[in-house]
Parts: sequence; C-alpha cells; structure tokens
Amino acid sequence: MKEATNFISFAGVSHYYNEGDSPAINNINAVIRRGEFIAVVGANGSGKSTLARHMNALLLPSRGKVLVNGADTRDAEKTVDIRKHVGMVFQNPDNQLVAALVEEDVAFGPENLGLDPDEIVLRVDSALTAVGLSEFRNKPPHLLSGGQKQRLAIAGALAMRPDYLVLDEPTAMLDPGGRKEVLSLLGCLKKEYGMALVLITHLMEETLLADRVWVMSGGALVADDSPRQVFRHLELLAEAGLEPAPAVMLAARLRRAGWDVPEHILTLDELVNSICRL
Amino acid sequence: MPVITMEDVHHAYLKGTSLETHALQNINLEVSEGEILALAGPTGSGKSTLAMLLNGLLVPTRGRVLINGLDTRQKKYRRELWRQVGLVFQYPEYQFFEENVFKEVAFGPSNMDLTPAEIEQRVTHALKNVGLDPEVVRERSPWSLSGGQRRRVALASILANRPRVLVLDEPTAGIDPAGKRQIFKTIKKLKQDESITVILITHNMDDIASMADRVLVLERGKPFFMGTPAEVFADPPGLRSIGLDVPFAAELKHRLNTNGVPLQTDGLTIDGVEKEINSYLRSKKSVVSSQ
Repeated sequence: MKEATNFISFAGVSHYYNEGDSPAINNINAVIRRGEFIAVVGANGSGKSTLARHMNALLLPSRGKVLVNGADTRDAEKTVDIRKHVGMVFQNPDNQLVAALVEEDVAFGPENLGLDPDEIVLRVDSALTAVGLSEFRNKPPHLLSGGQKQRLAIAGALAMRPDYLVLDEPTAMLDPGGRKEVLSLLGCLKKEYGMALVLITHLMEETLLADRVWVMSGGALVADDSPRQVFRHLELLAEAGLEPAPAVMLAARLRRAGWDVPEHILTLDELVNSICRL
Repeated sequence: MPVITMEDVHHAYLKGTSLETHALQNINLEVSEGEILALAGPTGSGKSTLAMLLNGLLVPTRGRVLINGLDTRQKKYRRELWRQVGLVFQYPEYQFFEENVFKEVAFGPSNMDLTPAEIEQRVTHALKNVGLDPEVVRERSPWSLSGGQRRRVALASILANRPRVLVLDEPTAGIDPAGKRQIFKTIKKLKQDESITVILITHNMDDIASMADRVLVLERGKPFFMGTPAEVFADPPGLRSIGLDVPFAAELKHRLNTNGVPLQTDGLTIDGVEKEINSYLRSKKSVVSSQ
C-alpha cells in the first residue's frame, strides 16, 4: 500500500460560503492518519462543521486542497470513491434513517454500491454486531431510543466499510445512557477496526477519549495536540471561547488558590487522587 | 394559584387502537410563578409529551392541565395558551421560514398589534439575550449561520413573544460554553425580573444542578422522583439505573467522601465544591501545623 493512501490531508485549505465574506475556515493545514481518533472543539461558528464537510467532499475548498487517501476532493470523478472511504454521522439521527426496518436502513448504502447480495448481508450483519443492534434488525427504526438510533446511523456508515468516520456532534441530543453507548462504541471502532475517527463535540469530557484535540477558533486551527497538552493551555481555550473539562477547571482553580495540584490532571480520578494526597 | 397545574394527567397516543401507547401516566404537578422546574428522564420517558400538554398542542386523555387557570382542553383558550406558553423544541431551527434573522425573530411580535418601534426593540432585546449581536446577524439568512447560532435565533424568536411560561427542550445542546452561559443568565434574569416560569427539559445534570429549583424525573411515562436537585442527586445509583447521571460536582463529592475526605456540602456546582475543598484543605493544614 502506498503511503499516500493512508491519510486525509488539508493543505492551505480555506472555504468561503460567499465571495467577500470572511472565510468559514482559514488556511487549514492538518493530517488525519488511519487509526487516529481526533476530537474537534470550538465555539459556535468557529468552522468545525465546515471543516468536517471537507473531509468527504460535501464541501470543496475555495483555496488549497484536501486529499483523501491520495485523491483530490475537487476531482468530481473521485467523489463517489471518497465518500466510500469517509463516513459521516450528524447530530440528529432521525434525519439520517431512511428505511422501514433497521436492517434495511443499514443495507441502504451497500445496496447503492451495487454489491452482491451475499456481501450486503455480510456487511449488514457485521455492522449491526459492531454497534450492538443485531437483536433489533427487524424492528422499525423509530421504535429505537435516541442512543440506539444514533448507533444505527453509525452502523449505516460502517456498512460502507469506511477508513474514516466523521461524527458531527453525534451525542448532543442523547441522554447520558445513550451518550455512553455511542462513546464506548467509538472506542471499540478505533481499537478493533483501526478506523480513524473525527468527533466534533462541545463536551470537553468527550475529547479525553481522543488521541488528539483540534481547537478551532474563528475559522483557524489554533491547536492540534494531545488532550493533556491542549488542556494545559487554558488561555488558549478561553480565547477560543471554550471551557476545559470540569476536572481540569477545578484543578486549575485549586492551583490558583495555592494548593499543590499537578498541571496534568484531566480526569475525575486523577483529581480525587491528588486532593487525597494533599 | 400555581401557574401550571397537572391533575392526574395521562396521555395515550393512538388511544383505542391496537397501537395504543401510554406516554404519560399519573402526573400530578404544581409549578408556581417564577419557578424553574427541570424535567429529566431517559429518551422515551415522556418529557416531550409533557411539554406539548402545556400549551394545548396535546390534550390529556385523562385528567386535566391548567395554565393560569385555563383548562387546555377548551378550544376557546387555545390562542391565549399559545401566547402565554412559549415552547422551544429540539432542532427548533428546522422551523425557520423567513429570509433573514430579523424577520424570523419579529414574526411573533408582528402578529401582536405592536408598533414597529416596539417590534424592533423586542427583536434586538431577544437577540442580545441569546448572545447574538443584532447588528451582525439581523440581515443574514438564518441558514447562513452555524448550527449553534441557528439554535440561538430560534430561542430568540420565542423570547420575543414574551411568554409567561417558557418550555425549553434541550436549549443548550450544540451551543458553546459562552452561548450557554448567556442563555442561562437570560433565563435566570427572566425569572427574577419578570417571574417567568420555566420548564427546562435536559439531559445535562450539571445544568439542572445550576438552574433548577425542583426536578421531576420521569421514567417510562411515570414520575420516578420529584424534589430539589440536592435530593435527586443524592441517589446516584437510582439515577444511573434509569440511564441518567449525576452532576460532576456531586460525583466528585461522593468520590472524595468515600476516599476519606469528608465534604459536608450539598453544593452541586463546581463553585460550591471548590469552596468546600478549600476549607477542608485549610483546616487539615492548620491541624498539621499546630501539632
């Protein structure tokens, strides 16, 4: 396998929705490698969704270029291929479900690829197993809970066997149980399938699962680092209109009050341990 | 007199058919003027059905709902109910139909016999209240805004109607921290200055902790728990058993307690727990240094 077929790259990418407007994303340079989990955070209007939509040619760069496994997204002949490689899941699962039965919904994408029926069955089975919805295969999607519907939307994307899965606030409308279902599924997709994940979220706790966090601010990518590193730069987050995860925030406040709480704290467990040691 | 009264309210969808589903059962509730009542519960627990019962979009299949004494079953009160009770649903931005943000937010007030100056004032005020700059957004198409900004416009368009009861279904999902602070500040201000009654439907337990006077937890259409946030969050296992959670601060307090750090507080916010930790650490150090 050639090296160029293993990543999505952004080179000097800007996007203008209208001529004369300020760019929605501005001079983005970044790479997503296979098997990486990237969380994208940023204030409303910072360009997160615009950025995500460039990853499967839903939007094309006004300047610069996006390569998906070596294919330029501006090349219309490659669009179908690119969308096979890059799956997308959005905030509202109800808008993404198309069929009367769960299994038909998952089969929708593969059927449109013109695959042979045996292969379709195989893909539907494995996608439903991966998201834990096999027992619901003959149910209508509207009877599922929010978390289950969103897992079904993910199954639909998985059945396309993508290399990359881009999720735009998939947990925003879910209850805590549904959110946990989706997040643990993401962890599993990365681990067991080596799939690259791009998760757009407003919940800082969710970014802790990622290998890297991208911080968007005013259309620019202002940080691209591990969660631990990104959360050390509280000023940068504040400038981007964001708040750190609650454990990080409380640790910082205790430090400011003069207590010897280490800077690297990210999680509740770490915070509890460090307070107990004081 | 309570602003909202629900007496033995039941609601069944497709009643009398083989597909009859009981969305709500045995709901008895009184909400006073200026109260913020949070409605929590897992997906499918009946929260949205309850919301729709509050302005007559749905009427109970048993029992009754009174809003300021108006029985929602009576058709003649419909218009008055719609005026008094502002509902902001999930994905409110799907209902946009005007060409620019100003017209979108002005739609309600424009149908209320107000002067252009009053309409202008209401729109500007409502946009500011959701953290949007009226000058920047007024001429823009609602569809040219980002997801979170659209949601704020939708909220502004309800606020501009000046309802007496505000029903908000996940008002801050998809909204950034600054926007969320602004929206919550606005809700608290409306409560304080104008005694608006608020029903806040949310999955976010931290928001409940910081905003609500009382919480009604629903489970499969039935009341599961009713009380203050402190009372509700005192039972993490119970909440987890129905797919809910406790706020970060409550979890932290619980974990510190089990690790031998005795926090007394029933504070459920980060601010409250921070104070408590500070004073615990100070007293611990002073004991150590005096020995």
